[in-house]
Amino acid sequence: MDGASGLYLVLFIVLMVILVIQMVINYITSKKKAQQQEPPVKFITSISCINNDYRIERDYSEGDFVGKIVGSCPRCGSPLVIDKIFSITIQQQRK
Amino acid sequence: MLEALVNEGIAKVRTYLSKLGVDRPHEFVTRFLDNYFAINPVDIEPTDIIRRMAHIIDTAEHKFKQDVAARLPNMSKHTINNIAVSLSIVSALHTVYKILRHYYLLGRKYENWLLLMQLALVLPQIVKELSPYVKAIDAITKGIPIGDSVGPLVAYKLIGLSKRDEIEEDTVVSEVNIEGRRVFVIKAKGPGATVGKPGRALAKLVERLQCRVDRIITVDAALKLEGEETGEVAEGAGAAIGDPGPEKIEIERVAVRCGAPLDAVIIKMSSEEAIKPLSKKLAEACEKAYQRVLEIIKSRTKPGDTVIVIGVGNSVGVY
Ligand SMILES: [Zn+2]
Repeated sequence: MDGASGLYLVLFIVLMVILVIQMVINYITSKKKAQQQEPPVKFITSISCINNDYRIERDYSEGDFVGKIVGSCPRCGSPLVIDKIFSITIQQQRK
Repeated sequence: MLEALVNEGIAKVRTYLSKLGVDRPHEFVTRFLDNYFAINPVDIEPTDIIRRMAHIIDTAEHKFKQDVAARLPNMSKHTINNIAVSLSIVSALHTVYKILRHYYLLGRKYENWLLLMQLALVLPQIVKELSPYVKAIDAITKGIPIGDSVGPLVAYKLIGLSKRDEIEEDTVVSEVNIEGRRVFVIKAKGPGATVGKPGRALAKLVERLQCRVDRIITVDAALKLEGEETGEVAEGAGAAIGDPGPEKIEIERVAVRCGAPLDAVIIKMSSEEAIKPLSKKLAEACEKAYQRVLEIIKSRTKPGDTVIVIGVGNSVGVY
């Protein structure tokens, strides 16, 4: 009886040690990953003429929203409307 | 570590509030953290459970928004919606933090190392899952569309700048003509952060139309499986909407009552992407989903038919 519980104790301790090591490794790698991931992003506002003959993209500025009229088209004078707002990672933009 | 994350979230909302000129923002945020829970209705007695649930959700929401509005007079409704949503995100984060703390303290109290061990093991994953929420606060306070906004974005593509008629609280409907079909488009009212009440709006609209509806199309973001491509557009049947139940059942009931086929167009993304600012990939997926909806309208309805399209999701940053 004693021998059996002694064996269990040893097994249990071994298991614990393995778990702790695993945990530490996990913790370190996840921290590293967290630092690697999440490249900086930047927000782009895409503006187009409602007649679809003119389109520009610029940096997002506060107050922009999809469907906002931001002026008139230099080609045909129709309203210019924000039609997309999205984020890109900075690296993507460089290529 | 988790506490730091939650505090970061709180701090973000606080700076947003103080930027808006709210006095004592800290007290304001903490007050909203612990209140405004909603208790699920009794579910072993299913009679009118949906109505009870809708009622409870409404009560909680109204109370919440009223109190926010009371503390912030002379703010536009959009701003209030943005604040309400960011507050509820912070409050969700806070709840997770409290639950984890509960187990941690329980484990310590009874010296239950198994409990502590489990906690230690899941914690990194939880932190990873929660960090996008903190990012989402940024997007929402700034008014940038998020992944969940793809439904309203597709709706916007259909209706452009045509007139919005507020049919239900925070929910608008517009009518456009697409190749001879009368197309009604329902979406949450933008550009504030709200999901509106698409189900009830549909019910009202159908009543107005006296059930003369030939097809109902729902467009929503859907959770992808790990390994699936972000931005994939898929088409199926049923109501694509992820609410606790009341809005979804309303859509299904209307479809059944009027005998209208119910199409679902979904845009796949991860739960992280759903709350992060819209990525370029998803912005392109909106275009694809829009084309798909047009295709459904052109190929499965005849000129003269009436079609209802519902753009389900959060309309933050989308008029
Ligand atoms: Zn033009």
